[in-house]
Amino acid sequence: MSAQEHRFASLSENSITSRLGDVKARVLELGERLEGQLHGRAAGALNSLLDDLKAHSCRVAVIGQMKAGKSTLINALMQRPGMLPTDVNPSTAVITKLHFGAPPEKANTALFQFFSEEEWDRIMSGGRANAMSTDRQLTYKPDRLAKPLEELQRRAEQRLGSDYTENLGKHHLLSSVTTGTLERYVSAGDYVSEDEPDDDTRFFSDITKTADVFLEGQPLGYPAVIIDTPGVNDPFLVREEITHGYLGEADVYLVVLTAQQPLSQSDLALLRMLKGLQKDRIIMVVNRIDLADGLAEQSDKITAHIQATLKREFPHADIPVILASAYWANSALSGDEEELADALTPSLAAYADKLAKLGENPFGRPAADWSTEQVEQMLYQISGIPALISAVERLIGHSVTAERLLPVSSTLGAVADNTVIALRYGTRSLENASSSGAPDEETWFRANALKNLQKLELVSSRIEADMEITRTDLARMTREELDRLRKHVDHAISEFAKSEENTLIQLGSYAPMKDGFQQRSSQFRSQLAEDFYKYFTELAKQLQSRQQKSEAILRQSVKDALPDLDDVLHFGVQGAELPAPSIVPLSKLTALDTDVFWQHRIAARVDTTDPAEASQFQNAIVSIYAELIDELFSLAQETLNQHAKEALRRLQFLSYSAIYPIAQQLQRWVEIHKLMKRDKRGGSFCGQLLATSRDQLHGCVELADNAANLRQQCLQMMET
Amino acid sequence: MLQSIRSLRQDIAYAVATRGGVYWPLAGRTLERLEQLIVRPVRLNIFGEANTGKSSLVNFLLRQTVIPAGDFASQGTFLRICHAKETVLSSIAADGTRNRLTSKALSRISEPEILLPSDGEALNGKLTHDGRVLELGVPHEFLRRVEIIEARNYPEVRSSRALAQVFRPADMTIWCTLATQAWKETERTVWSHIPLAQRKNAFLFVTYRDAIRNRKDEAKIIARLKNDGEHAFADVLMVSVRDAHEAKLARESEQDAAMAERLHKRSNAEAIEEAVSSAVTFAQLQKLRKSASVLKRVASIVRKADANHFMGPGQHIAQKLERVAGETLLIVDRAETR
Repeated sequence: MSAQEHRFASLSENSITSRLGDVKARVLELGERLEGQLHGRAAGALNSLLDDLKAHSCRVAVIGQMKAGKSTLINALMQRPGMLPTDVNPSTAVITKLHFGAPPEKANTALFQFFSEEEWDRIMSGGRANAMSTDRQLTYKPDRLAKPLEELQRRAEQRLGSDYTENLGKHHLLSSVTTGTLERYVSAGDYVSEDEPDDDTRFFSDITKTADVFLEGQPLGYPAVIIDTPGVNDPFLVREEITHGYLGEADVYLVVLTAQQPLSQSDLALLRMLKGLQKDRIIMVVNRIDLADGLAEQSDKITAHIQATLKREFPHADIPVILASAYWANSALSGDEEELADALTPSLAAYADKLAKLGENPFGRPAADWSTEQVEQMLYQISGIPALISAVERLIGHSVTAERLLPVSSTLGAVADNTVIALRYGTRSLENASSSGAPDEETWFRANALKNLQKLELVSSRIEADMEITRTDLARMTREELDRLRKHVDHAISEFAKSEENTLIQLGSYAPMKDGFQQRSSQFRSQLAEDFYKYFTELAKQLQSRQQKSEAILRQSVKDALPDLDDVLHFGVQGAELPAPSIVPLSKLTALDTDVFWQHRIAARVDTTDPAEASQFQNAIVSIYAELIDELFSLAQETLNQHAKEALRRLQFLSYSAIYPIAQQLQRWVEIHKLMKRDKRGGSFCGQLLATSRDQLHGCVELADNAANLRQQCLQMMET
Repeated sequence: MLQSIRSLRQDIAYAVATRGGVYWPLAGRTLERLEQLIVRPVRLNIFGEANTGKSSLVNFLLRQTVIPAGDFASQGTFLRICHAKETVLSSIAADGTRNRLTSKALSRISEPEILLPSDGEALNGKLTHDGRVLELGVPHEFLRRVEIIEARNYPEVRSSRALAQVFRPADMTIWCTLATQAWKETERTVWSHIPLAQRKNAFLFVTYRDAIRNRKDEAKIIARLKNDGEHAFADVLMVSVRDAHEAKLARESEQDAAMAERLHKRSNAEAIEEAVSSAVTFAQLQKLRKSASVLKRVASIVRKADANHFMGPGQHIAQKLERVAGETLLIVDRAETR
């Protein structure tokens, strides 16, 4: 599919993301110039930092209930109507990642990864729900799931032949992608062919796990991956767990609702799952406003209703609500005269008029004498897509600046400062040497350069030793704190299970306690989440102060070895903040609460007054929690390990940034000295070195100023 | 039939007074209950999530806008619509007590803040009622035959006691689902929790047909819903109840005839009427069938009551009961072959 010309300017000239791209380019340029000043390991470390930033893209996940219009909305967002396959029945069956801003040689290619045999077996055996029921020899058979599974298997066989399992674990790499191909890999589809399928018509979507599609252009003004997900609340339950598995992975979430049922109970359940993520990541998109009655009068009510509910559920979050019609946007984009005529209803005209009065529609109310182009422009404007894009931009702008640009430019600044300090030290030594008028440069050289090189060796070994201590300390603190938290959580769960068992014994059966149980278990989960965050914040503080301690130690080590160094070591404003770990696993229990299997299992198990049976209730609670808590802790562990790795990398890199320029300078002196001795050249050794050193210093001071400027700019961008 | 039963009941009442014993009173009570069953209108439950066109369906069936349809119709409340001499709105508390509400309340019936009492708490000093059931009496002939219960479901509803009170077995059910998001897992779950007996005479109305832009798409949606056979609806119809209602109003007021015709065609109104009337007929026949079997049972009770009295009235009454039962079954059979 060739890149289509974007018909409507959705990004303004000085949009946030284009400013972001601007700052990013300048950070990268500064980094490269700085890299030119560094050698060896320091340059290598800087290089990988810059590569990370270069390759960085924002992940925007589009989630919502089945048939909310997610794929259609993405088509409108990227101005490619009809690109992602859509249908009147639930269609998207595969997590589909659309990559924008990838290297040009990759454009229009696609990679489709199939389930591994292990994953397929897991799906076929009913996933988590079933695994839990068989583990505990529960009698309840989740036949609700069995039926879709049978259908899935039957369809896979019908579409791919009985040897379809041979495809498992493999992938398909396509050098060009069309809507037709996408349909065969990501749409559930109702296509069943009587003929023997050949390779060009085979439907792989049943066994496809993820699809990665690389496209030209940057609809969001910044490199981005837009992720389309299968809708939740689909009676064809199989894929829902896969979607849940991806919930923790995006920078921005677009939660798509339909205007006909704004913010239903199932939408709220989905939002509660996102509750554990960092704030300011969610945008609510109320799609299908084209179907709302009397939209001009209703639109404010819809927004107010949603905002009021959000305020109640998430009192501390400020979640933007955007009214949108992907249908209008796609009609405007396709330019289909008939579709445009269909879309232009009196209700739309009234809405356009209303937006015009609010200053949100510069085109005004549509009139009979409008050209097609005018109608298209107006329709795209009031479709809410431009408003949505700027809302996404704001979130991207904030998160990219805070999480990427600010830390990188701060690190670059520290490197530049340290380099300046080192170069100043070297330059001053040379100045001293030449002004002291030492009679014998040879003597001076032996006294200074070689002695200093030895000193540096010493510093380097001290840094390594300090780093080792820091590494063990961080690991120990993490382990101890997580153990403490684990004990607390385990204890809380067993207390909860015990108290529920008592309630069960008192009431005699599960039925009368069901409502209360659900309410209490939801309260219990929020308590767990709160405790989890409390511990984690505490741990983050400890780790932060441990790093500051390391900074001080490292600084002292360098100072001890090189007392003449006129400034202490710089470490920048701060290290990256410890990101909050995902508590998505905890939210999965919310899904479990409304899950039919789980309730049937409990009911089947515990409709009894027999205390022995009741104790199985307690065990059931504990073991169901255990699996999710394991997952929770392994995610937390991963977050902490990643953080420690990055913190250590930064400490090491910055410490060496002060040492390497000196060593580098000294090494150059040694080399030049050797050369001069070999060639028996005369002239002032110090004079020549001094000139180049001064140039280098001058250049680095400029880089340091640049870095300080960029950092300032990042801070400003975060404020607006 | 009702008359024969009434006269039989007088015979039995005489026997109760003169003979006593266990069986005669039992026969009398059973017949009394049967009479109530015959007299009461058939019950139509209208289910569906918020804003799926349930209120519009009620309006359409009653040919007048009794419930202003709102975009945020409230959840978790029940509205019983039955026949009355004048339009009257009452709230019914959990203990069954009834409070008549003002006519002002009637005009605000679709405002959620009124209908969402949070466990009996007063809401901003506005109209409150402590039950989750509202009863709307409307003077309309249709309601003499059919009593409607409109329910806004949400997952918690199925455990509520109010639900159990209101949902005495329905004789027929219509589930409304949005055409653009038809039959979600949450809907399927609630449906699967409704007792099987209540799910027998049921139709799935896929509403907002006007939002589906071509007939091919309509066929695809219907095919998917019919394929998911386990929920066993008698039929799946794609309709637009709001258009149907508006077309009807427009026709009656003889306004824009062309528009009325267009709306009427788009709405699938005839299919709605047909489905409802066939469901009502089916429910009424079911009731007759049940009556026949009750009559037979009463006959056997009466025979037992009189087993030791060779000359007693038992044989005669039992014969009469059996004859009425037979006649009833004949009516049912004839109607069914039609």
